[in-house]
Amino acid sequence: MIKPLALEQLYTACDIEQFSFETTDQLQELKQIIGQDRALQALHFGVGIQQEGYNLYVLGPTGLGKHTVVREYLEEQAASKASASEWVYIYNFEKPSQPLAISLDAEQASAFRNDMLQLVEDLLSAIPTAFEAEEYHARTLDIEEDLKKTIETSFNSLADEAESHDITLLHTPHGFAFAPAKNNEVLSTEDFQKLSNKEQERLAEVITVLEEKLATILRTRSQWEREARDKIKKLNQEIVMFASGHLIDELKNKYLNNKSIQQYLDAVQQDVIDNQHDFRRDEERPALMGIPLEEEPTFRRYEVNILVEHKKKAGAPVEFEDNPNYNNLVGTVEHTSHMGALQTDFTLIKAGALHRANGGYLMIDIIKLLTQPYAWEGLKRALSSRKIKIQSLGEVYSLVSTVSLAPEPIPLDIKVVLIGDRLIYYLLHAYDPEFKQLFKVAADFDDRLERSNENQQVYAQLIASLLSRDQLRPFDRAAVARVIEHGARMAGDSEKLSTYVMDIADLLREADHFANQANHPVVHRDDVQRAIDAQIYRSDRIREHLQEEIARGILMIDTDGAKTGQINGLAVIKLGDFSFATPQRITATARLGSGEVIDIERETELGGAIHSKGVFILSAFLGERYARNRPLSLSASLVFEQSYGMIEGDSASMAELCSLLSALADIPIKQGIAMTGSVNQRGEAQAIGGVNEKIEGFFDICNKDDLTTQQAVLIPHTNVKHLMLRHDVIEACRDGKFAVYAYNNVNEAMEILTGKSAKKINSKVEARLVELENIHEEFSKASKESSSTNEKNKH
Amino acid sequence: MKKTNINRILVALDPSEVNRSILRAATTLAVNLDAKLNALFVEDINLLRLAELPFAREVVYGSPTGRQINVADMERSLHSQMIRLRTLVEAISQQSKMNIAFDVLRGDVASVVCSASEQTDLLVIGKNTQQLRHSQKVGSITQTILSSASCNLMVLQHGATIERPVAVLFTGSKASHRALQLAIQLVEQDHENLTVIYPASSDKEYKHLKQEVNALTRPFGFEARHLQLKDDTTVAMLNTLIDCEARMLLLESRDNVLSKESMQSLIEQTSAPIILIN
Repeated sequence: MIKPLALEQLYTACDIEQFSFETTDQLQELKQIIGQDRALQALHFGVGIQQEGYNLYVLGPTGLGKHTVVREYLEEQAASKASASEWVYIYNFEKPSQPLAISLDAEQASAFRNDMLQLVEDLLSAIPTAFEAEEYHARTLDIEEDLKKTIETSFNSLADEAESHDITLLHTPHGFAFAPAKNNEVLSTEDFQKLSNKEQERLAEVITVLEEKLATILRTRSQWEREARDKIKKLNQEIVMFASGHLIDELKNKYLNNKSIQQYLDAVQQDVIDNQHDFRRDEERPALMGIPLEEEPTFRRYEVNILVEHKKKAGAPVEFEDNPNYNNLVGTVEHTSHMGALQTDFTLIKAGALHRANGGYLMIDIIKLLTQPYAWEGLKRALSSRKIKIQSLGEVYSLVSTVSLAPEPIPLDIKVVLIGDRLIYYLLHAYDPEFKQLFKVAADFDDRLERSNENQQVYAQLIASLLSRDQLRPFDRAAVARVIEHGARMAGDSEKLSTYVMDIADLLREADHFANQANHPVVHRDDVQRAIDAQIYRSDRIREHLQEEIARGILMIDTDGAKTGQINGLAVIKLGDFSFATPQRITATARLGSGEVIDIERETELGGAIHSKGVFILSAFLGERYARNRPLSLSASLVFEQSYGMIEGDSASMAELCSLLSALADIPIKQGIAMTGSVNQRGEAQAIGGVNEKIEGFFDICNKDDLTTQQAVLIPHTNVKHLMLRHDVIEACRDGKFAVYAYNNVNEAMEILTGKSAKKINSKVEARLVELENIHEEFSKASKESSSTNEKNKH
Repeated sequence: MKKTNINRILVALDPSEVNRSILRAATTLAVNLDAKLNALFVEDINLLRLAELPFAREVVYGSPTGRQINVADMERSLHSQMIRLRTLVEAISQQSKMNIAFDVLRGDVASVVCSASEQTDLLVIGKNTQQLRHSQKVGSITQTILSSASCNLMVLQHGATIERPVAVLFTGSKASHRALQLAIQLVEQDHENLTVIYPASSDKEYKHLKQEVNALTRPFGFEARHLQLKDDTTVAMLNTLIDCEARMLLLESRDNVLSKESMQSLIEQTSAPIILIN
């Protein structure tokens, strides 16, 4: 019979003698996170490779410090890179609905914006001054005089010609007319008729010719006026060029290296010429009852909308978008309300996180991204096209057809780092083909590391770093050792240490708090233990209630005596971040049947798939061991008594098997022993999870009443390395009041549970099965005889 | 010094668009001088005679050929013009809060206006009232009136307004005395707005005339600005007007300083209103 585990197997203490320091003040802080070599290498690779699709997904459970590690790493890398380009949007004079984007070097965007503002101010002064100059007036006067002279000359010439034929040119209410005259007086009808017919005809003919000439003059007058207007227009353009040219040239020289700005300023120059009236201090604008009938000119189109700016020598940008909705990612075009209508222009284009991080790095929480409608699609679209195109969701999905702005897309050069848990990563990998193409690098953060001596030293340094960061009291080495041990407990493995930095940091803070309460200048081991105990106590309510229910007999759990077909199984309950275990009565019955093992939990749909699998496996074991060459003539049933919720997992399958064997062999099982373990078809014990919680859970129940020295827990041998039990459990084991046994297979387990040898147990099981088979055969024979008699009687 | 005897002002209106400014100028003058204002529109008899002719056609802007006109059409058009002018007169009368009589006569424009001017103290006319001849040039009707009218005349470029400073050409004649009198009345109390221009003459003559003017202005408590022409030409007069920034010029209608042609040239080349004192 196997013996209980030795004390050193129940808890692997941290030897403080390995530490050369007295307190953590003497330790150097860690420069780099521990235990994440794989993830760090992936980060380094993913950030370094400059190929399309090599964005990163940092995966691992919450609490490992992924955000901090990634951010610090990115900021370190970004610091050595050149500053990213600044981007501005400007008015597109050719297509106003498609604002243009211009890239500038760091700290140039605001200078360019200010330069444009100043330019408008200068133009508002220079252009009116130019038009108020004497020279301009003189030149316009010349043009007007020329026109007047031309018209006058034509009319005078015509009038003189008319006069030479005794005809006068009259100004009628609607135009002009020619009439025969004498001494500037038009001939009356009588005087006209006194003239000879020849003379009358001559006059009529001459008037007809003169009328044609007059009509020609009137037609040509439009042309002369148009030519005069063209001259004035050309003059105005010259004046505007004269006033504005040098100002714009000055700006062009300043931004000589920027081709886009050169083109833009050329367009500005032309626009100023085309819209010179906006700059001129012309006559007062028409108004009706004080309300202007024309809009005041706006020079908004010359403004520069700075989308994103950077400081020189600031390195590449590192952005963390904590609200990654669609607009916050790709930017948006805002609108203002004016007299009931929505208006917008290029100055209302707002940057998104992709803009701010362009040329650098963008960190996003995957959960937050996926829970925002269309944000994930928007991000993928930008990464695939390598452009940031600002479009409303309505436009993207053709939900609206109103005209809006279509800003020029901006080229995208970015590394996106998604941060999230493993499940999301694998789901995306399986179901989203674009994800694989765009996020080729997985930086997998581990939640544990080897508990080597070297790593324990580094762990101590980690503790020192966390203490320094949060400005906490120093820990003495015993306290450090306790934290390390707790790290192993958190990992659920005596040979590993947890890398949940957040949880460790919480423990340190809480230990510091208790040290403060006890006026300890340095945190001791007791302070750490108090913090651990307090954490448990804060989460302990449900466990306490369950234990009370058991103690009061409401939940029926026996912790002494022996019963046939009954065993204490152990189940872990996880509530929030606190896990605990509680014993569960498992019972088995066996009777004549046709070889089925009924899992009542499965039949009532309270058993999960893994639990059902465990029951099938133990059924298969039964057949394999006891019914290879003959039928199994039993019907067995297994149930978790007083369990009314879902049962999942196969960690109780060995206990179920043992209770069934007990029922078959009719050998009672000691109720002071609880059991956990998974069984395979060969009857071998397989490791389970939560072994520490399970042992402590049964210990607590037994400890409610005084321990009987007959109480223990059976665990698979492969779980021994996971043991980091509580101090009171260790003490009870040391005093011989409690024990933990490790078993390898069902034989060893049954020996401990029953106190009988495996040989005896197996033979009793076999005998029972043979008995059941024989009974079955008799029933079958009797049944056949009965049915043949009935047949004979019928005939 | 006596107050100028301008108690009645007559403004001759024609169908063109220049009337509004001419009427306003006449109204301003009437208010300043506390005079009665009459507006006169003459229906040109020549137009009616034209309409009677068998081949009467009107060439209209935008139409390739002339259109037939008849007396009825012409009467209607003239009537419409008259209505528009009456409305204009009523509007300006209301704005300026003074009574403006409006008369309509028919006949030869120049003759009727000259005849009407005999019943008035000051006749206000436009320089050129032909819409197309929109220039500084003095129109034929105005030329005729300038040479025939017996009363004082004010000739205006369209768009001109009655403003100070005022310049007056003083030769010592009775008419120039009356011109000076009117100028003083127009500047009211504003001494700096009166410039007296003297013909090019000897220093002695200049001094004498100057003394005469001072003696006339002293009772009003001010001394005018004095400028002398370099020579008695239109150019010299125009330059002097520019120097003193005069917005109005008064001078006698027939004097020995400027010839008739020079006078006409002066009227054509300046945009300031000119008052000719008879």
